[in-house]
Amino acid sequence: MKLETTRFGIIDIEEKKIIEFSDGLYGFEKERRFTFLPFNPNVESPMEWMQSILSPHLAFVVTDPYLYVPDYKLKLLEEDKKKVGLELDESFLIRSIVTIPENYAEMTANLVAPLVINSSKRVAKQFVLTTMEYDTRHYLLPEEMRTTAANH
Amino acid sequence: MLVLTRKIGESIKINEDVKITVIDVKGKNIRLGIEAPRETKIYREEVFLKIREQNQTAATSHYFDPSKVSKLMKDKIKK
Repeated sequence: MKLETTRFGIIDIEEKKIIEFSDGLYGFEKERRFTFLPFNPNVESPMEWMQSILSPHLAFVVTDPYLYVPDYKLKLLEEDKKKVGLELDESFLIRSIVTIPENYAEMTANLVAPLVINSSKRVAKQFVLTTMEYDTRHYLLPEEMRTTAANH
Repeated sequence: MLVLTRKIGESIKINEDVKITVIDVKGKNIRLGIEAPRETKIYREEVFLKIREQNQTAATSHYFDPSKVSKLMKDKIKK
């Protein structure tokens, strides 16, 4: 299908690549359908865009939090898994929404509210962790990289 | 809203299995103890506001060059 987007123009996407968030996202409750697009078409990247199907202008940068926080603790209870249609022991994807400010070295990921994605059923949900261990603005880069990149 | 008055050490129960006890009161701060089944999700309410704000900020801060960001991330992951 053709999809109109502000950032990428009109693009052709496969309908089977649309992911459904039945509750939307916090603050974007009406945004229920998204598709993942390459962050940078020519370069391999740990980031992806999550483009809204409903709103051409709306796209989030997402990444795999385990690349930066290998011991990221996210415990899904059985009823959490049911909410995204996961059967027992079925695997799922975790993505965190990334905020990239003008000084992009200071980008952060929201580790409090990860996206849990059931890729086979194509349903997802933004969960909120009950632990106080993580922040909604977790720096992805260590301090020395944040300061040196800023001076480039 | 149901409003109840409790003293330190007193509790309220919600359904059969949730018990909230006033542990201590110091000035404007009240410490609550909550006993609930493991699967009960207990949040400080502000967390939802923070997440809404962060989602909104993430959706609107896009003044960056993806290739520069990718390069920086690759440098980081190599380390």
